[in-house]
Amino acid sequence: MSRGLLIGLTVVVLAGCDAAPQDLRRALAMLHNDQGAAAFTQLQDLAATGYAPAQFRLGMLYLQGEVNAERRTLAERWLMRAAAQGDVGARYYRALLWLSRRRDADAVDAGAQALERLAADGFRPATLRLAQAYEAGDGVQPDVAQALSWYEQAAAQGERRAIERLATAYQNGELGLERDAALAQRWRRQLAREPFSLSD
Amino acid sequence: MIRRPANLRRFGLGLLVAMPAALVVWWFLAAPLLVPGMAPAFAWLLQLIWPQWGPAVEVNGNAWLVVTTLPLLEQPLQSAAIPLGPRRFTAAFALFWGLVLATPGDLPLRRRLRQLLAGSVLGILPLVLLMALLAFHFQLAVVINHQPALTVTPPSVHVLALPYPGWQFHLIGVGRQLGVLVLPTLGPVLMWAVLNRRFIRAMIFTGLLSRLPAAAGELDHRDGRA
Repeated sequence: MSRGLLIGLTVVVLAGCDAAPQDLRRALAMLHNDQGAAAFTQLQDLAATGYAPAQFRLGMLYLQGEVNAERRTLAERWLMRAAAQGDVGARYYRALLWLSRRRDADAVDAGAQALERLAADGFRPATLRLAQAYEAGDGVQPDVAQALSWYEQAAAQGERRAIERLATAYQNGELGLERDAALAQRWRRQLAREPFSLSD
Repeated sequence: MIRRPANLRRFGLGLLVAMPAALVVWWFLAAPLLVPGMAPAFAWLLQLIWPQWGPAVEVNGNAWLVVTTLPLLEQPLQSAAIPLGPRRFTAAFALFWGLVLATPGDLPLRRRLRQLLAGSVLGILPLVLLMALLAFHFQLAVVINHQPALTVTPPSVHVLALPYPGWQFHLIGVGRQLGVLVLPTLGPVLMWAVLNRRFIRAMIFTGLLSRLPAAAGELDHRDGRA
């Protein structure tokens, strides 16, 4: 009985002492202290153990600076691995990476679908990104109706940039909307009601 | 006129002396030690509950900074850090100490000190950690959902995490209110009441018993006159 209790307590104590996040935090701190090489090695070691947050960061590290085809492939590989474990950041940036392959229709489709899945999961930046992509024809075919629908969804979720865009669209008669000063004002009032801290 | 029991009066007078003394000790001596002292325990709890965000606690004067591995959308190689002020929660210690010291009774000094120590370590300390957890969970939910609530506004940057469903977000808000408004005052009083059941019983029953015969006698007298 007491041995079982001891084992249980040990498991609980050890569960609260995970080394991987500590190593990741250390690697990121090194990265910001201009110790890029050491940080890169540490991230590679961590990513090789299958730790998704490190895989995502390693993928993003490959996408920084001057990106060539080799770096892009490596980035995609690590983002794929992290995304397979459900890492939201990896899912999002992998989708953007696919969307950016404008000549590859399959990749663009896969990117749009991946963003839609994220949007369905309630991830607001994905909803907003879809709206912006459909409005500007960024990767996908321009589609004002789709853009408006995604902007409305993002605004309904409280996404500030979507609300701002809708207010401007109603003001100027954009996105296939009739000019409506009252509706523009209503969206702007919503912005005033929900202030955001701008200190960070 | 009903006479109040003597020990209730003594308790009231004791509170007038003991509570300010406990608050002074807490503010100048205990809180500066408690804030850094509790940080490792809080960090361990955070790791246990949210291992996916890899939280660690840095002590910065009277505040904690919970450093996570939650990536930022705008700068994915940077992570979110959430500040938390735990000092206000540690006021529960002062409230508990004041109540224990003000309680009249024939407890020897050693037993009273033992009660203070046991109550603080086994009762108030976990309670304070729970309050801090509830407050932190709410801050985390506001950052993740990027939605202002209960006077807390999220930072302008977004984090790369799926939001809490609406009902869960509101429940976390209720938890925060419990941790910030209810537990800091009610928790120490309940802990003191549990450790001083004899005094509470004596206070209530002595009071009731002393009132009942007097009230009954008064009724009989009125009935007789009628």
